[in-house]
Amino acid sequence: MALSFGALWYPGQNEEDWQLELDQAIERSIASQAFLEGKLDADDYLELVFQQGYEPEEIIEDVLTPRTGGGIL
Amino acid sequence: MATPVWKLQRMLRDAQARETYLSTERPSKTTYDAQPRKKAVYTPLLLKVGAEYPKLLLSISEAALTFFGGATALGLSETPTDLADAVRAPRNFRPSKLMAMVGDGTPAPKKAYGGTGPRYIDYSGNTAGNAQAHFTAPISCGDQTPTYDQLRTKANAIRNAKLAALGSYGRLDLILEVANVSLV
Repeated sequence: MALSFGALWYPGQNEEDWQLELDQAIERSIASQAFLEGKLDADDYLELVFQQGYEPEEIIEDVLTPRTGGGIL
Repeated sequence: MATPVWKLQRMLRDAQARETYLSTERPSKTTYDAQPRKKAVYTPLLLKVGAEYPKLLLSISEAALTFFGGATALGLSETPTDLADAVRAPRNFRPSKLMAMVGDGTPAPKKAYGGTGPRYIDYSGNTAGNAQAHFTAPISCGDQTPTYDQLRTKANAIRNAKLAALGSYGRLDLILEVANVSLV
């Protein structure tokens, strides 16, 4: 499930970028949960995803692709 | 037309090789790599039962717990009362988790599929023996009412503590919780 994709830290990343990653991840997480609970309209959700620099179509495809293997960790 | 000699020789060679292959045991690993896991209690960020945040029992890799600095750093509880009270996570619930890859300072090129595949560079670290380079552990807010800010503080603390250990090619990934769960 790609609805909540995380924040990535890599070597050489500066502090602002890391905090921005965290901000965006948290924003996505809140929006995803609101969407799952039916409190956020699908269009608004996709708009937020698009504003963060992702292609909604690609993510929808990813979500619809069945997850293989693994537990919850 | 008679079968040429080279073809018969090749068939003989292949048949003998096949027989040798089938009559010998396949090599397999005789040792067992222990991957011990430990139970700990996770407090969810999004999942609520009524007004309460339920305590969820998760099974966590001991190596990852040690790497990230123990259960307290990850906001998990290991007290016997919590462990006794905790329940299993519902279906489709995915906890917030930290995923780390320890980088190797001098990455070496490798060939995939045991030497016959394409060349790639392995940046994952700890080349000494069978040392583990990838760690995954859930991260929660602990006892207090969970908020994103607390999770951020915890993630920041772990990142700062692990900067040196992750090395020049390491990665640290914070995946936030997905509670696509309907509780009746």
